[in-house]
Amino acid sequence: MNQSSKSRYFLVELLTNCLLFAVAAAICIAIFAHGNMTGKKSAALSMAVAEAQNVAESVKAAEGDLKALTALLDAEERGGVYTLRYDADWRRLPDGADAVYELRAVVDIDENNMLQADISVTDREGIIYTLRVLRYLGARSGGII
Amino acid sequence: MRRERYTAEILFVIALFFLYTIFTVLLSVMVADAYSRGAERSERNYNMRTSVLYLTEKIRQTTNASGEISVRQTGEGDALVLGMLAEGERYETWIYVEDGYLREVLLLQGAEVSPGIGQKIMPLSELVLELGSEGLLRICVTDQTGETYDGKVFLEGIGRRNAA
Repeated sequence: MNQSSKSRYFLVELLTNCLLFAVAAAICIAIFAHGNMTGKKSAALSMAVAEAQNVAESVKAAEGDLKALTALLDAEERGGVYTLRYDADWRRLPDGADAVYELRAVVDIDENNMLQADISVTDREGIIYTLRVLRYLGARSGGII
Repeated sequence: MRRERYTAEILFVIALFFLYTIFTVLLSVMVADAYSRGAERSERNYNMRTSVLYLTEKIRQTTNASGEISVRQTGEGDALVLGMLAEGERYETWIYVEDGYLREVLLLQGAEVSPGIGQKIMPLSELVLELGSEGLLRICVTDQTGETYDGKVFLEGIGRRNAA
């Protein structure tokens, strides 16, 4: 076997290695990209749950008083609907700003004095998390809404 | 002619080997970077959520057991004080930040919190508590990287007492 054919065998071996490496690298990158996306979604869900819980606690504290809830949430109310906007790092944005995440709380009290608040957190792709708050207000704070 | 071809082949093999090495290093760096970013995000989430969840769970336990909840001051800032009655004695659980740690200590009512007495719970830089008249307790924690996180919990007993 001369030198030339030896180097040719080595070349074939190296090319096979490169091919295997390329396949393994493509799979590895795809897995990490997926992991990265899942991590981002998980972080967003975690923050969405926390923000929705904060709003739910504020709804409970307001006891059906929309003015009190407006002050607690520091957000404007339009027909029983509150909209809170957030940037990519979950910092609050003013009304009308271009938001990455949006939290909507629809507050309603029925004729039986049952307060219902439907809280939903969305991003540009769709709903991340929803939370429903049901609370019987009793005779004390009835009819405030 | 044959010698030149042989040299070219060798050079090609060497170039390919270097290319292979560069891509391997590049891939390792990319994967390490993606992994560290994921781990960092996960740790940040843990730090932010765990401290606030710990405090809210403690508050809910105390609320369910009809214990008293108040916000007081220590040398380094706000402290959450959860009162309880056991075997005829009144005890208080103090949860506060000292020396970069969230700490907790159970004391007889009226006893002073002395430095270093509390058990370490987790690293935390700052704890700010704000109890509104409506009974809504705002918990603001700052972790060791300077990131802050807010949580709210409604203390029903305090809300009703103030509304009455």
